[in-house]
Amino acid sequence: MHDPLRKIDDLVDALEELRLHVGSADLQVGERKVNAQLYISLANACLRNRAALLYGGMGANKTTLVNLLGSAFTGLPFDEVENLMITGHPEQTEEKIVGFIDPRQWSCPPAPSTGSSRSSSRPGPSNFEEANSIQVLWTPWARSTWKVINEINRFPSGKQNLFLELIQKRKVSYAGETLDLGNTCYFATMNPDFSATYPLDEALLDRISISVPATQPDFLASLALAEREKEVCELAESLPRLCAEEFEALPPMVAAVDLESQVELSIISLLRDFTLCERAPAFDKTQLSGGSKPSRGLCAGCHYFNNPEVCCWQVDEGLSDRVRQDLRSYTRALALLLGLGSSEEKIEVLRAVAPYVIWHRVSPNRTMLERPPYYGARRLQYVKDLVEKSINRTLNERGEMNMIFARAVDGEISPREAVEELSGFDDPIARLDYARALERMV
Amino acid sequence: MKLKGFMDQAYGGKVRGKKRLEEKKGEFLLGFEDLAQRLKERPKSAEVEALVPDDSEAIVDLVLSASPKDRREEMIWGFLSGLAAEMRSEPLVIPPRNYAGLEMKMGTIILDGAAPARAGASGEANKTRSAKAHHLGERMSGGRLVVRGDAGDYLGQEMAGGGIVCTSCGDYAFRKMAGGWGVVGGDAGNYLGVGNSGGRIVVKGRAGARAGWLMRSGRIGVGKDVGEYLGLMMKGGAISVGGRAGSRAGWRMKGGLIKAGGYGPEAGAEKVGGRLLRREDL
Repeated sequence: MHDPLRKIDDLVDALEELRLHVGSADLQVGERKVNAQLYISLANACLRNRAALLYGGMGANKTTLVNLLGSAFTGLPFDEVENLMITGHPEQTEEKIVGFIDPRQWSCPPAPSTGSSRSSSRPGPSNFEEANSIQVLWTPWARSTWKVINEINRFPSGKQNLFLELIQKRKVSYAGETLDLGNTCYFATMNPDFSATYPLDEALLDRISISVPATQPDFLASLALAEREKEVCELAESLPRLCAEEFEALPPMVAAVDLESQVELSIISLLRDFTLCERAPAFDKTQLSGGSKPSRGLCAGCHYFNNPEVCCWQVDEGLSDRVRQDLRSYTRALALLLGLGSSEEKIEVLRAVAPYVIWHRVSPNRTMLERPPYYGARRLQYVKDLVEKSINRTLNERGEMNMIFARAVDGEISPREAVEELSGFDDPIARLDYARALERMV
Repeated sequence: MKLKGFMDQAYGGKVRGKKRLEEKKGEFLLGFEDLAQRLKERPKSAEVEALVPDDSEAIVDLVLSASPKDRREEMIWGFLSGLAAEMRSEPLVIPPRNYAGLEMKMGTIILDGAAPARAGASGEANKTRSAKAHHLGERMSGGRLVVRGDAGDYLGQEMAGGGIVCTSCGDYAFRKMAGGWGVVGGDAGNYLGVGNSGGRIVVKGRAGARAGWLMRSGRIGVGKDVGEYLGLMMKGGAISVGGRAGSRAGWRMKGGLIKAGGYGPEAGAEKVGGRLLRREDL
């Protein structure tokens, strides 16, 4: 087996040389600049059971890039990978997506095995009644470990729920039969709202681990694309391909990347910064519903309201624990891909990755978003700025209060003394998390 | 791994929390400036106490040798003067400076002599300002503060216990007082006992305008006349005036008692509750 990381580097070079992907270097990780669309897709390919959403207008190389990567990572020809993909439209049916009942089971001898389904090992039609089950022919998409859902927002809400279940349970059911999906890479693409689109369900959005905007090629990229004379499917044959062994070796390599205390602390504090709310039940912003939102006047008169250093009032939603898992996974994956190993470098990776993990899950405060430099449109930049503030605050300003809390938890000082000392820190985490935890210990 | 180990790793041992102060207790201090440098922007009394030596004479030396340059250093000096007084059995006699006896809990301070000019400051404004020391006995909760001379503004502000004696005082004396007592041998400025919730104040001479403004509890006694708006919007407590009260005494008052020898025009105007009495009626 070759080094899969080296092959991925070759793949990146080949995509550029063959003019198959020519995006600008818009993702800064420390000193290095890379293309966000490409590297976040690559990071997702190194992980399993995480879903990456590529968001952007038509012709931004979303679907093609994902299929090219699918071809390189699964070793299948580009045409076959394209055939595996499912595309959203209002008439799309569950049968076309996951599978349908095999009609042959009632008219002919047992069909050959069709995948890893439980149904495939079931008895044939002769004893069907006894087994009380039927045979399902699962679609190639359902059986594939590289699943692409094209134009996900053109699926009606009922079909969107199917994906929600699929990503959550890692199983797909049809006619009472279940197919175990195993470890799978999920990719989805989405166009901005057109007339024939449906709003994405919030629960589904929360299960989408990362979302990256795909932009149109700029002037230089357009010049480079003009040099491409062959069709994509022809050029795709020249791409380096990973063998199955190399593809399977990637998730354990990502899992072996160690996240230092500094990174773990920044991730937890980031989540708490977005989730803590003094006025929400149990101080948890994910408990808010209906009209009780920061954007609907919840924060009026609150001590933290209008404080630009505090994140809570600047977004409506809190972040679920899935975000923590996603932040850890993508930080590890991108650090592995870029060969960044020190704690400081991983903090830079976290700074780069976190906005893409969070921005599609929250609604920014309209008043703030509509001001320059966001002009109501730059949601990702808005979340980037909040992430930056939170991480800087954790690393530079929260040291003393974190140490007081740690010493109290470890029994070096009394919880009462620690609460008194923490009362001097005007920080939501100290006031709402630490003080409460210590009061329970008193 | 313990949580402290986790945090130590996260911050690379750069943050050690407040233990740093405790560890430095008893360390040799080069002087007042050295002490001020070791403290953070808004120091507390406990933080100053954690750094200064245990020896009361050493603290007195620090107090006498100090030349505070700004408000922060004046507050540090104030904490030091209170600590020195607490540790001595006999009264501490020092020249008056701003914030003398800040948060004092016990002991006695006698402020004697002229207030020295603030280090590094110059000009006519500074001369006028330094003529009287301000914020004397602020937030004190016990002990005695004797000012041999005139006190400036904010005398005994937010005090909760102990006692202050002075010859005269400026504006906002005994503001937000919650307990203790204050005696002014001469006249008091404007806004005497604003927002008081307890304590006793006696002024032998005159008091300026708005004495007992928003007072909730406690007692104020003035020997001679007081200015306008006496007991403005007061809710409780008692004010006794030996002379005459100015115009609009007890304006919009909601509770409490005012006694005076006479009242100016519009006394008790828009009064909601409380009582306004003339001494001759009693």
